Amino acid sequence: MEVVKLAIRLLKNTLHVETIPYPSKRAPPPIFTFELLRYPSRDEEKCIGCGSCAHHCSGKATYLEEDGDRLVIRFVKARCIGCGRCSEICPVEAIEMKQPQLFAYTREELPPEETLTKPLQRCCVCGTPFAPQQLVDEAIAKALEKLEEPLYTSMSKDYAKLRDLCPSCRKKLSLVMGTHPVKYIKEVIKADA
Amino acid sequence: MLRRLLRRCLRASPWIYHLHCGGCNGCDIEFAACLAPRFDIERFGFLLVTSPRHADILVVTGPVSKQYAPMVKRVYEQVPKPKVVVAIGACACSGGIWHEEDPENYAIVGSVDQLIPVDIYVPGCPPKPEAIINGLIKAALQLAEAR
Repeated sequence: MEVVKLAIRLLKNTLHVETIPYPSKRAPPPIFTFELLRYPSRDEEKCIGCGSCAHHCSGKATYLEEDGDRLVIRFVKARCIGCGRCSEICPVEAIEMKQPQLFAYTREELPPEETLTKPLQRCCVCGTPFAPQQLVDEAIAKALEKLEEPLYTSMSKDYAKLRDLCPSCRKKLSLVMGTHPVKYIKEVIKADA
Repeated sequence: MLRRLLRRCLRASPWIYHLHCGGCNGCDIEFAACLAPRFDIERFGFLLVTSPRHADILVVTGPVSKQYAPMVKRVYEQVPKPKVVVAIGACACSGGIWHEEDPENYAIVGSVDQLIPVDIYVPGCPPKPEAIINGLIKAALQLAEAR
């Protein structure tokens, strides 16, 4: 009986084919690397141009370039290692790991650089471009998000003035423009007294 | 007619030589997976040979280190014509995580195509065995055209 069982097992083993007939059939994806073996794809409308994807890119595949009034975000596909740090760090979730890495390219087919341009905000006093316009709007919206009524109106007035100023001009002109935070401290002191 | 027969034969059995020029060895492991029973590239007639003088296709993995750069050139010259070079992995294709423009990396040259002409690029870190098979089949077709 044992010998027959062994013989059946042996026959099964010899008939079993491990090879995957690749072009007609694909190997099942391993579960733990399913997300990682992918290229990032950027949603151009959602992106605010903060540049954190470029700062966190481990292979310098995404990098920033300032071209006068515009910020250019460049992405070299061949240099991407699919680590997924850019999609992890993106504050507005504009990057998704979507396109699977299953391709080979000849020299002519090699994909060109993906570029995305974002307009920069110019300082209205000194005239230097300092940050993308969408990033400034997003930052102001986030700062005002959790404020309550008396503070909200005064702060939103301040931010409307501050929007067009670069960080160094903000410091210099804060007392002239009346946006210095000392007034809030004074109010608190008055209320306590 | 003889030439046509030769072309068909060569398309059916390209010989490959594997050159590792540095880096983490991940792509080499994936390439070894291609040769192993699960993805078995010998189905398509590829044969791994131990000398570049016997090879038709040169498979290069990893970023080229500065010390190894002359050897890469020498091995490329040893492969008889016509030859096809396949760069496997993000490092071999474009420098990958070793890519540095300013200042230049002190030990790594970067991508393979700075030293020798590359015909097929298989990006990915590491690329899947399926992608490597795709690349090698493209290389075999290009080789048959070159004859």
